[in-house]
Amino acid sequence: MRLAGFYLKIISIMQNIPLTGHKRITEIEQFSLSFGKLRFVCVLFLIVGFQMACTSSIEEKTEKSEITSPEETPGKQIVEIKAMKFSPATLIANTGDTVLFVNKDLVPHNVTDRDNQDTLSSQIAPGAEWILIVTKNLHFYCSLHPTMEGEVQLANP
Amino acid sequence: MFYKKMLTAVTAILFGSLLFAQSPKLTDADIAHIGVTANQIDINYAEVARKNSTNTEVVKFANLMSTDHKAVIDQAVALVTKLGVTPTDNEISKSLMKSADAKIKEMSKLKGDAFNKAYLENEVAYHQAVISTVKETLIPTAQNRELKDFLGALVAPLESHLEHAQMALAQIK
Repeated sequence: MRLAGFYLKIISIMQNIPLTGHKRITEIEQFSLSFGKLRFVCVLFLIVGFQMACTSSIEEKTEKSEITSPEETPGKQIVEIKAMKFSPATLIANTGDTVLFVNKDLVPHNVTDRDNQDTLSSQIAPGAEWILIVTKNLHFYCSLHPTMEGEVQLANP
Repeated sequence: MFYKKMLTAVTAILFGSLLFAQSPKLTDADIAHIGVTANQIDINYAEVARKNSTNTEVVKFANLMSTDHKAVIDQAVALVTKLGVTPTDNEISKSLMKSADAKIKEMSKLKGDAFNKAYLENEVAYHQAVISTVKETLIPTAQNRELKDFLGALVAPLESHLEHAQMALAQIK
Protein backbone atom coordinates (compact mmCIF):
# COMPACT_ATOMS: atom_id res chain seq x y z
CA MET A 1 0.00 0.00 0.00
CA ARG A 2 2.84 2.34 0.90
CA LEU A 3 4.57 1.44 -2.36
CA ALA A 4 1.39 2.10 -4.33
CA GLY A 5 1.04 5.43 -2.63
CA PHE A 6 4.65 6.18 -3.45
CA TYR A 7 4.02 5.43 -7.14
CA LEU A 8 1.04 7.75 -7.21
CA LYS A 9 2.97 10.52 -5.55
CA ILE A 10 5.87 10.29 -8.03
CA ILE A 11 3.51 10.27 -11.03
CA SER A 12 1.52 13.23 -9.73
CA ILE A 13 4.69 15.20 -9.11
CA MET A 14 6.11 14.40 -12.55
CA GLN A 15 2.86 15.27 -14.31
CA ASN A 16 2.48 18.60 -12.62
CA ILE A 17 5.71 20.35 -13.60
CA PRO A 18 8.55 20.33 -16.17
CA LEU A 19 11.62 18.44 -15.01
CA THR A 20 13.62 21.62 -14.78
CA GLY A 21 11.31 23.03 -12.03
CA HIS A 22 13.60 23.54 -8.99
CA LYS A 23 10.94 23.47 -6.30
CA ARG A 24 9.40 20.17 -7.39
CA ILE A 25 12.77 18.52 -7.93
CA THR A 26 13.53 19.42 -4.33
CA GLU A 27 10.24 17.79 -3.30
CA ILE A 28 11.21 14.65 -5.23
CA GLU A 29 14.56 14.55 -3.49
CA GLN A 30 13.01 14.99 -0.06
CA PHE A 31 10.41 12.35 -0.70
CA SER A 32 12.98 9.89 -1.98
CA LEU A 33 15.06 10.21 1.16
CA SER A 34 12.23 8.89 3.28
CA PHE A 35 12.01 5.67 1.22
CA GLY A 36 15.63 5.08 0.45
CA LYS A 37 17.58 6.39 -2.48
CA LEU A 38 18.12 2.98 -4.05
CA ARG A 39 14.43 2.08 -4.05
CA PHE A 40 13.65 5.49 -5.49
CA VAL A 41 16.07 5.03 -8.39
CA CYS A 42 14.66 1.60 -9.19
CA VAL A 43 11.12 2.86 -9.23
CA LEU A 44 12.14 5.87 -11.32
CA PHE A 45 13.76 3.58 -13.88
CA LEU A 46 10.60 1.45 -13.94
CA ILE A 47 8.37 4.46 -14.60
CA VAL A 48 10.66 5.89 -17.27
CA GLY A 49 11.05 2.48 -18.87
CA PHE A 50 7.29 1.97 -18.88
CA GLN A 51 6.71 5.33 -20.55
CA MET A 52 9.38 4.61 -23.15
CA ALA A 53 7.84 1.21 -23.85
CA CYS A 54 4.39 2.73 -24.30
CA THR A 55 5.74 5.43 -26.60
CA SER A 56 7.70 2.98 -28.75
CA SER A 57 4.71 0.66 -29.17
CA ILE A 58 2.60 3.61 -30.32
CA GLU A 59 5.35 4.64 -32.72
CA GLU A 60 5.69 1.04 -33.90
CA LYS A 61 1.96 0.78 -34.55
CA THR A 62 2.02 4.07 -36.42
CA GLU A 63 5.02 2.96 -38.41
CA LYS A 64 3.39 -0.35 -39.24
CA SER A 65 0.20 1.32 -40.42
CA GLU A 66 2.22 3.66 -42.61
CA ILE A 67 4.08 0.73 -44.18
CA THR A 68 0.98 -1.40 -44.79
CA SER A 69 -0.80 0.61 -47.50
CA PRO A 70 -3.31 -0.75 -50.03
CA GLU A 71 -0.91 0.01 -52.90
CA GLU A 72 1.71 -2.39 -51.58
CA THR A 73 -0.44 -5.55 -51.32
CA PRO A 74 -1.95 -7.34 -54.32
CA GLY A 75 -5.62 -6.45 -54.46
CA LYS A 76 -8.71 -8.33 -55.43
CA GLN A 77 -11.67 -6.75 -57.11
CA ILE A 78 -15.00 -8.17 -58.13
CA VAL A 79 -16.92 -7.58 -61.34
CA GLU A 80 -20.54 -8.64 -61.31
CA ILE A 81 -22.04 -9.66 -64.65
CA LYS A 82 -25.70 -8.85 -64.33
CA ALA A 83 -28.47 -7.47 -66.54
CA MET A 84 -26.14 -7.86 -69.53
CA LYS A 85 -23.54 -5.48 -68.08
CA PHE A 86 -20.14 -5.69 -66.42
CA SER A 87 -20.37 -3.88 -63.11
CA PRO A 88 -18.21 -1.96 -62.53
CA ALA A 89 -17.39 -1.44 -66.18
CA THR A 90 -14.09 0.32 -65.41
CA LEU A 91 -11.53 -0.80 -62.86
CA ILE A 92 -8.22 0.59 -61.78
CA ALA A 93 -5.80 -2.09 -60.69
CA ASN A 94 -2.14 -2.93 -60.27
CA THR A 95 -0.17 -5.59 -62.14
CA GLY A 96 -0.68 -8.84 -60.29
CA ASP A 97 -4.09 -7.88 -58.91
CA THR A 98 -6.91 -10.32 -59.45
CA VAL A 99 -10.35 -9.52 -60.81
CA LEU A 100 -13.10 -12.00 -60.03
CA PHE A 101 -15.87 -12.07 -62.64
CA VAL A 102 -19.11 -13.45 -61.23
CA ASN A 103 -21.91 -14.31 -63.68
CA LYS A 104 -25.23 -13.45 -62.08
CA ASP A 105 -27.11 -13.44 -65.38
CA LEU A 106 -29.41 -16.10 -66.81
CA VAL A 107 -27.21 -16.56 -69.89
CA PRO A 108 -23.52 -17.43 -70.37
CA HIS A 109 -20.91 -14.73 -71.00
CA ASN A 110 -17.20 -14.49 -71.60
CA VAL A 111 -14.34 -12.02 -71.26
CA THR A 112 -12.62 -11.28 -74.57
CA ASP A 113 -9.71 -8.93 -75.24
CA ARG A 114 -11.11 -6.38 -77.65
CA ASP A 115 -7.68 -5.43 -79.00
CA ASN A 116 -6.59 -8.90 -80.14
CA GLN A 117 -9.94 -10.75 -79.97
CA ASP A 118 -8.51 -13.41 -77.63
CA THR A 119 -11.26 -14.96 -75.54
CA LEU A 120 -9.55 -14.99 -72.17
CA SER A 121 -12.16 -16.76 -70.11
CA SER A 122 -13.92 -19.34 -72.28
CA GLN A 123 -17.62 -19.51 -71.45
CA ILE A 124 -18.67 -18.39 -67.96
CA ALA A 125 -21.92 -20.23 -67.24
CA PRO A 126 -24.74 -18.63 -65.19
CA GLY A 127 -23.67 -18.78 -61.56
CA ALA A 128 -20.03 -19.49 -62.41
CA GLU A 129 -16.93 -17.36 -61.74
CA TRP A 130 -13.64 -16.64 -63.50
CA ILE A 131 -10.47 -14.92 -62.30
CA LEU A 132 -8.39 -12.51 -64.37
CA ILE A 133 -4.83 -11.75 -63.25
CA VAL A 134 -4.03 -8.20 -64.32
CA THR A 135 -0.94 -7.87 -66.50
CA LYS A 136 -1.76 -4.88 -68.73
CA ASN A 137 -4.35 -2.28 -69.64
CA LEU A 138 -7.26 -4.26 -70.98
CA HIS A 139 -10.30 -3.34 -73.04
CA PHE A 140 -12.63 -6.32 -72.77
CA TYR A 141 -16.10 -7.30 -73.91
CA CYS A 142 -18.37 -10.30 -74.08
CA SER A 143 -17.96 -11.73 -77.59
CA LEU A 144 -21.34 -13.47 -77.21
CA HIS A 145 -23.08 -10.18 -76.42
CA PRO A 146 -20.85 -7.53 -78.00
CA THR A 147 -22.59 -4.51 -76.46
CA MET A 148 -21.21 -5.56 -73.06
CA GLU A 149 -17.87 -3.82 -72.55
CA GLY A 150 -15.43 -3.04 -69.80
CA GLU A 151 -11.92 -1.83 -69.10
CA VAL A 152 -9.07 -2.49 -66.68
CA GLN A 153 -6.68 0.46 -66.30
CA LEU A 154 -3.32 0.03 -64.67
CA ALA A 155 -2.84 2.34 -61.69
CA ASN A 156 0.90 2.60 -62.43
CA PRO A 157 1.44 1.84 -66.12
CA MET B 1 -40.62 -0.24 -93.15
CA PHE B 2 -44.40 -0.55 -93.32
CA TYR B 3 -44.14 -4.34 -93.65
CA LYS B 4 -41.80 -4.51 -90.66
CA LYS B 5 -44.13 -2.44 -88.53
CA MET B 6 -47.06 -4.60 -89.57
CA LEU B 7 -45.15 -7.79 -88.72
CA THR B 8 -44.22 -6.43 -85.30
CA ALA B 9 -47.77 -5.30 -84.66
CA VAL B 10 -49.30 -8.61 -85.72
CA THR B 11 -46.87 -10.63 -83.63
CA ALA B 12 -47.41 -8.43 -80.61
CA ILE B 13 -51.19 -8.48 -81.01
CA LEU B 14 -51.21 -12.26 -81.39
CA PHE B 15 -48.99 -12.81 -78.37
CA GLY B 16 -50.69 -10.17 -76.28
CA SER B 17 -54.26 -11.04 -77.14
CA LEU B 18 -53.74 -14.71 -76.42
CA LEU B 19 -52.37 -13.87 -73.01
CA PHE B 20 -54.79 -11.04 -72.28
CA ALA B 21 -57.75 -13.28 -72.94
CA GLN B 22 -56.36 -15.82 -70.50
CA SER B 23 -54.43 -13.68 -67.99
CA PRO B 24 -57.05 -13.61 -65.20
CA LYS B 25 -56.78 -17.40 -65.15
CA LEU B 26 -53.00 -17.76 -65.50
CA THR B 27 -51.40 -19.76 -62.72
CA ASP B 28 -47.69 -19.99 -61.95
CA ALA B 29 -47.73 -23.42 -63.58
CA ASP B 30 -49.20 -21.87 -66.76
CA ILE B 31 -46.69 -19.02 -66.66
CA ALA B 32 -43.79 -21.43 -66.24
CA HIS B 33 -44.95 -23.44 -69.26
CA ILE B 34 -45.51 -20.32 -71.38
CA GLY B 35 -42.03 -19.09 -70.45
CA VAL B 36 -40.39 -22.36 -71.42
CA THR B 37 -42.42 -22.51 -74.65
CA ALA B 38 -41.46 -18.98 -75.65
CA ASN B 39 -37.79 -19.83 -75.20
CA GLN B 40 -38.16 -23.12 -77.08
CA ILE B 41 -39.80 -21.33 -80.00
CA ASP B 42 -36.74 -19.11 -80.45
CA ILE B 43 -34.51 -22.16 -80.29
CA ASN B 44 -36.64 -23.69 -83.07
CA TYR B 45 -36.31 -20.51 -85.15
CA ALA B 46 -32.55 -20.66 -84.62
CA GLU B 47 -32.43 -24.27 -85.87
CA VAL B 48 -34.07 -23.21 -89.14
CA ALA B 49 -31.56 -20.37 -89.54
CA ARG B 50 -28.59 -22.64 -88.89
CA LYS B 51 -29.85 -25.01 -91.59
CA ASN B 52 -30.96 -22.47 -94.18
CA SER B 53 -28.59 -19.52 -93.88
CA THR B 54 -25.05 -19.19 -95.17
CA ASN B 55 -24.59 -15.68 -93.80
CA THR B 56 -21.94 -15.73 -91.05
CA GLU B 57 -23.60 -13.08 -88.90
CA VAL B 58 -27.04 -14.68 -89.19
CA VAL B 59 -25.69 -18.10 -88.21
CA LYS B 60 -23.70 -16.52 -85.35
CA PHE B 61 -26.84 -14.81 -84.11
CA ALA B 62 -28.85 -18.03 -84.40
CA ASN B 63 -26.18 -19.92 -82.43
CA LEU B 64 -26.39 -17.26 -79.71
CA MET B 65 -30.19 -17.55 -79.57
CA SER B 66 -29.88 -21.30 -79.24
CA THR B 67 -27.24 -21.09 -76.47
CA ASP B 68 -28.93 -18.36 -74.48
CA HIS B 69 -32.47 -19.69 -74.62
CA LYS B 70 -31.31 -23.20 -73.71
CA ALA B 71 -29.55 -21.72 -70.67
CA VAL B 72 -32.75 -19.91 -69.71
CA ILE B 73 -34.81 -23.09 -70.06
CA ASP B 74 -32.32 -25.02 -67.91
CA GLN B 75 -32.57 -22.45 -65.15
CA ALA B 76 -36.33 -22.19 -65.48
CA VAL B 77 -36.63 -25.94 -65.05
CA ALA B 78 -34.29 -25.86 -62.06
CA LEU B 79 -36.38 -23.09 -60.49
CA VAL B 80 -39.77 -24.73 -60.94
CA THR B 81 -38.33 -28.01 -59.66
CA LYS B 82 -37.11 -26.22 -56.56
CA LEU B 83 -40.48 -24.51 -56.14
CA GLY B 84 -42.41 -27.73 -56.70
CA VAL B 85 -44.29 -26.16 -59.63
CA THR B 86 -45.07 -28.44 -62.55
CA PRO B 87 -45.33 -26.44 -65.81
CA THR B 88 -48.76 -27.11 -67.23
CA ASP B 89 -49.42 -27.23 -70.94
CA ASN B 90 -52.21 -24.84 -71.77
CA GLU B 91 -54.05 -23.32 -74.71
CA ILE B 92 -51.73 -20.34 -74.85
CA SER B 93 -48.59 -22.45 -75.12
CA LYS B 94 -50.28 -24.55 -77.78
CA SER B 95 -51.34 -21.50 -79.78
CA LEU B 96 -47.87 -19.99 -79.58
CA MET B 97 -46.27 -23.20 -80.76
CA LYS B 98 -48.80 -23.55 -83.57
CA SER B 99 -48.10 -20.00 -84.80
CA ALA B 100 -44.37 -20.59 -84.59
CA ASP B 101 -44.62 -23.80 -86.60
CA ALA B 102 -46.51 -21.92 -89.31
CA LYS B 103 -43.85 -19.21 -89.33
CA ILE B 104 -41.10 -21.80 -89.64
CA LYS B 105 -42.85 -23.42 -92.63
CA GLU B 106 -43.15 -20.01 -94.28
CA MET B 107 -39.48 -19.07 -93.70
CA SER B 108 -38.22 -22.49 -94.83
CA LYS B 109 -39.51 -21.77 -98.33
CA LEU B 110 -37.13 -18.81 -98.63
CA LYS B 111 -33.47 -18.82 -99.65
CA GLY B 112 -30.42 -16.58 -99.42
CA ASP B 113 -30.95 -12.91 -98.54
CA ALA B 114 -34.72 -13.28 -98.55
CA PHE B 115 -34.47 -15.91 -95.82
CA ASN B 116 -31.92 -13.91 -93.79
CA LYS B 117 -34.12 -10.84 -93.88
CA ALA B 118 -37.26 -12.79 -92.97
CA TYR B 119 -35.52 -14.57 -90.09
CA LEU B 120 -34.06 -11.40 -88.57
CA GLU B 121 -37.25 -9.41 -89.03
CA ASN B 122 -39.14 -12.18 -87.29
CA GLU B 123 -36.56 -12.20 -84.48
CA VAL B 124 -37.04 -8.47 -83.96
CA ALA B 125 -40.83 -8.76 -83.92
CA TYR B 126 -40.79 -11.88 -81.76
CA HIS B 127 -38.47 -10.43 -79.11
CA GLN B 128 -40.47 -7.22 -78.99
CA ALA B 129 -43.63 -9.23 -78.41
CA VAL B 130 -42.05 -11.46 -75.77
CA ILE B 131 -40.53 -8.51 -73.89
CA SER B 132 -43.87 -6.76 -73.85
CA THR B 133 -45.67 -9.87 -72.65
CA VAL B 134 -43.15 -10.66 -69.91
CA LYS B 135 -43.23 -7.12 -68.58
CA GLU B 136 -46.93 -6.45 -68.87
CA THR B 137 -48.53 -9.82 -68.25
CA LEU B 138 -46.31 -12.58 -66.90
CA ILE B 139 -44.45 -10.62 -64.21
CA PRO B 140 -47.53 -8.89 -62.80
CA THR B 141 -49.52 -12.13 -62.88
CA ALA B 142 -46.93 -14.45 -61.33
CA GLN B 143 -47.67 -15.22 -57.69
CA ASN B 144 -44.38 -16.70 -56.51
CA ARG B 145 -41.69 -14.14 -55.65
CA GLU B 146 -38.82 -16.18 -57.08
CA LEU B 147 -40.71 -16.75 -60.32
CA LYS B 148 -41.36 -13.01 -60.57
CA ASP B 149 -37.66 -12.29 -59.99
CA PHE B 150 -36.68 -14.89 -62.61
CA LEU B 151 -38.99 -13.32 -65.19
CA GLY B 152 -37.62 -9.90 -64.26
CA ALA B 153 -34.07 -11.12 -64.81
CA LEU B 154 -35.12 -12.40 -68.24
CA VAL B 155 -35.91 -8.92 -69.58
CA ALA B 156 -32.29 -7.75 -69.93
CA PRO B 157 -31.16 -10.73 -72.07
CA LEU B 158 -34.29 -10.39 -74.23
CA GLU B 159 -33.61 -6.69 -74.77
CA SER B 160 -30.01 -7.50 -75.61
CA HIS B 161 -31.20 -10.06 -78.18
CA LEU B 162 -33.58 -7.50 -79.66
CA GLU B 163 -30.78 -4.96 -80.00
CA HIS B 164 -28.51 -7.58 -81.52
CA ALA B 165 -31.19 -8.66 -84.03
CA GLN B 166 -31.80 -5.04 -85.04
CA MET B 167 -28.06 -4.50 -85.57
CA ALA B 168 -27.74 -7.72 -87.61
CA LEU B 169 -30.78 -6.74 -89.71
CA ALA B 170 -29.28 -3.30 -90.40
CA GLN B 171 -26.05 -4.95 -91.56
CA ILE B 172 -27.68 -7.23 -94.17
CA LYS B 173 -29.82 -4.48 -95.71
